Amino acid sequence: MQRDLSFSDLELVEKVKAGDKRSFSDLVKRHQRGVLRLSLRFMKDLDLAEDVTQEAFIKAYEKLNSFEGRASFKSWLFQIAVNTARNKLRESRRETVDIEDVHLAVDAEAETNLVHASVAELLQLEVNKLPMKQRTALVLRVYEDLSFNEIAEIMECPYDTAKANYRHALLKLKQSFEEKQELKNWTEEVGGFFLEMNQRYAEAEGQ
Amino acid sequence: MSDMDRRLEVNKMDKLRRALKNNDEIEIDLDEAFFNRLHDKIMAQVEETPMAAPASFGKTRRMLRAHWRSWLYPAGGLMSVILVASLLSPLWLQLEKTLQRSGLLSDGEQRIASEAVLSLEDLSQTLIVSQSEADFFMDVANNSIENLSVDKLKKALGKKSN
Repeated sequence: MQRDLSFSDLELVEKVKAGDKRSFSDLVKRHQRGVLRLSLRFMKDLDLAEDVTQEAFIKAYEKLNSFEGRASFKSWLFQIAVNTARNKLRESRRETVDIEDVHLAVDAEAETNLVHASVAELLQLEVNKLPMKQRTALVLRVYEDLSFNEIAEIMECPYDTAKANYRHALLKLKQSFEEKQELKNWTEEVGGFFLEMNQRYAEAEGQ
Repeated sequence: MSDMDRRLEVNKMDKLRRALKNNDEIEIDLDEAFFNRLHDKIMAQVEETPMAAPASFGKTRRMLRAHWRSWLYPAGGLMSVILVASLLSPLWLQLEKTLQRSGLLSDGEQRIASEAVLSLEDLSQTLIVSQSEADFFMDVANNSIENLSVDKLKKALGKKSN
């Protein structure tokens, strides 16, 4: 797919505001992967993530006149995508669970099965257990490599709050891993879960 | 927490962050056709969607939201109270005057004065009824002393006049 790199996001936004819908097409081409990936982190289902992506772009187009360029277009778009995903999860919560406490319904049996899951899956499970705000801050910082300023803009909160949410998320994860480490029998059954974790740490450190 | 402990904590956190990043399970290995289709779907909807006009108070709302924890709200609240008070003060004075005139809000003197204006006969009756005998003699004595000449006073005190 050809990308128009000659114009910045803000220039394209101005062109769209002036009535040039083709410029919005360039913005979609530029950001659809990022928005889809972000949506997928919250929705855990490609079809739902695709719906969120579409809805986010449509909302962005509808509200484009209210975008003043204080934040980057990407941050603004991500803000819409996160809010859309949150609303979708809220809708599904009415039928299932509390979004501020998006704990996956993992019973003892399911957890035993997870013992044999990959490290990535186990980590993801712990991330999913975090409250929505902490999870959002963590996802944006760790996986999307955004600055705290950008995270604050996306989460519509002060800089310090964004940082505190991220820190609490990491602390909770650390605590939860340490608690699991204490369960020696369980960790042995895991087949070296923490051994693998340590290896990953070492690899990560070596990078 | 000492500096050493803090550094260790930060180091642990950073390791955890990198471990999470390295174990990222979400990989979008979708082909270009998928994204072309997604793009076309979005643009088809955009064609049918009108762009909303800019909100008239959008700028103010965004500014308020941006400074929601800062000085703007307390200062705005104080200004609002002062403004409302200054707007209401003439109205309040006018209302007070009206109430006093109608006798709903007044002290004794003003009330008697307003009653007196409305009914002088009732007032005189009220005063006569409320006056005791002692009050009457005191009034007479007071009147006599006020009109007493110097000579009469000296005479009453047993002094000779010049």
